[in-house]
Amino acid sequence: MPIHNIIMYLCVMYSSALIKGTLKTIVLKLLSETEKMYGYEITQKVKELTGSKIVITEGALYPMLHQLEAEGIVTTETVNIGKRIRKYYTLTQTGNERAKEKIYEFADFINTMNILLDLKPNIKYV
Amino acid sequence: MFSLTEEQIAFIENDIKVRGITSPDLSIDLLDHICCVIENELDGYRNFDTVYQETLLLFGEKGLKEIQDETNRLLTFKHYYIMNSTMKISGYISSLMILSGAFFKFNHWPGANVLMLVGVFLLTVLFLPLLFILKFKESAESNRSVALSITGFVAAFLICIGIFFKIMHWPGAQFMIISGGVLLLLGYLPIYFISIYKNTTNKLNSTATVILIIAGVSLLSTETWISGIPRTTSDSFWRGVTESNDLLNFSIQENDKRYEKVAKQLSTDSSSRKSESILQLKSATDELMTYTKKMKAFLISKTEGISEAEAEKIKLDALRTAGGGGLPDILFGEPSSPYSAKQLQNKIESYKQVVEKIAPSTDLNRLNTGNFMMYGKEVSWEQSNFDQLPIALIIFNIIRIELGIIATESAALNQI
Repeated sequence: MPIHNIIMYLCVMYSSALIKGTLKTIVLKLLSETEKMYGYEITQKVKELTGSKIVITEGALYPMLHQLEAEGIVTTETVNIGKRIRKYYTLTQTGNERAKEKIYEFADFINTMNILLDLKPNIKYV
Repeated sequence: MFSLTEEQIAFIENDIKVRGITSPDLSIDLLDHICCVIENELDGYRNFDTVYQETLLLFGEKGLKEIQDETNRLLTFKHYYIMNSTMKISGYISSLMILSGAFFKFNHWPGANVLMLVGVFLLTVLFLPLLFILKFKESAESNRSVALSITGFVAAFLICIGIFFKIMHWPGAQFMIISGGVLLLLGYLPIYFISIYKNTTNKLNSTATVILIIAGVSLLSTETWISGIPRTTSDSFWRGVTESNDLLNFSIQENDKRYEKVAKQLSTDSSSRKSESILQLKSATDELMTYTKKMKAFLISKTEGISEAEAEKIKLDALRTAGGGGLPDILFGEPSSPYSAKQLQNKIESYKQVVEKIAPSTDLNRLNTGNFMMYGKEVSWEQSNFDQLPIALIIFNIIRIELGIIATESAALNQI
């Protein structure tokens, strides 16, 4: 997997500059739809939903999850899985609101880009 | 799907530690993540080690440590921004306050000391520690720059706190300033010098900084040396002060004896006009002497931070280390101050009028309050006795004035 050696914030198909600002929105959206998720699950879910077009790397995911936890947007609970511990992330009350804001903001952004680049709009607000 | 054995999990857990992950919170996440990946990738063909090595590649060139660094950066970024702006603002405010405080002091405007105090206080408790923390974080890579920021901070802190103590007349100020200066010259500068010559970029700038620091510390220490009068001179000055004070007490006693003598004479040979004059002279002298005595106690209590009752009993020798900051305000502008140079001058003038009425031919030159020639410049009586002088000299001048009063009283007694 040589590509992982090159770019940290990585997606397979899109340029990293394009994806960088949307990472948080993606994670917040996923967490708002599921009660709780662990790190590996998040990466796999994104891969699955986008048909591997977007892949969240570990190097970007975990620092962001810890930052969200410090900001009170997510809380964690730990579950023992045999010899190891699994940490589940859940959105808090403020986290839910933040998720809605972020998703709305991004959808609005895409609409604006549609107008700007004259693409045929195919976006629905959440 | 395969399941990892306990040994394999323990191996990964240990390897994460070895690769520099110190945060237990993050290592839980990483351990579970790596285990998940391996369990999904393992098949009958490849062994654990190969898959593990492949999995590590997921974490990029710099590996696991990079994730921890990135996490720390994200977590501290918010604080960093707040600290950075607090540091800048407190720096601007405190330097502005100190500058305007110095300007106020120079012009004898009220409030100079408060401005300087708050300024220095802000500088020492807010600006310097923040500067240190931020510099320290920035310089965390090399040992030399860590040593540089520690010595720099301690030296600057000592000097600032020392100046603050000096303004407040607290003990230990001199020691702190001197040790701060020594640390700056012998600790900070050598390290700084080495780092310049290891680091060739911007040599001119850094050399200029070194020269400025040396010049600053030298100026600071010359100031201390100048204010520290040579021992022999200062010893004879203090002998003069204490002896003048003894002479004053002796003269007061002598005058009291004369009053007793005169009182005895008057009881036998009563002349009402004479006894009235003597009573008038005594009460006028007592009033003026009470004022000067209280004024001394008040000024000492202000500069030494003790009560007036304690100040009355203080040994003059104990004023050796006193500074006398803040007195010009009290003696000159401040309307709320109960004692002022102008008030003392008025009291002396009215005392002179009383004496002149009782004993017209008494020599009043000892109580001259007119202008005074100093270095070819005419200086007012108030200025020559009180302005810009340390407390010790002001007390000495008041003792001189008191001696003049007692001598005049004695001369007047002879006339009656």
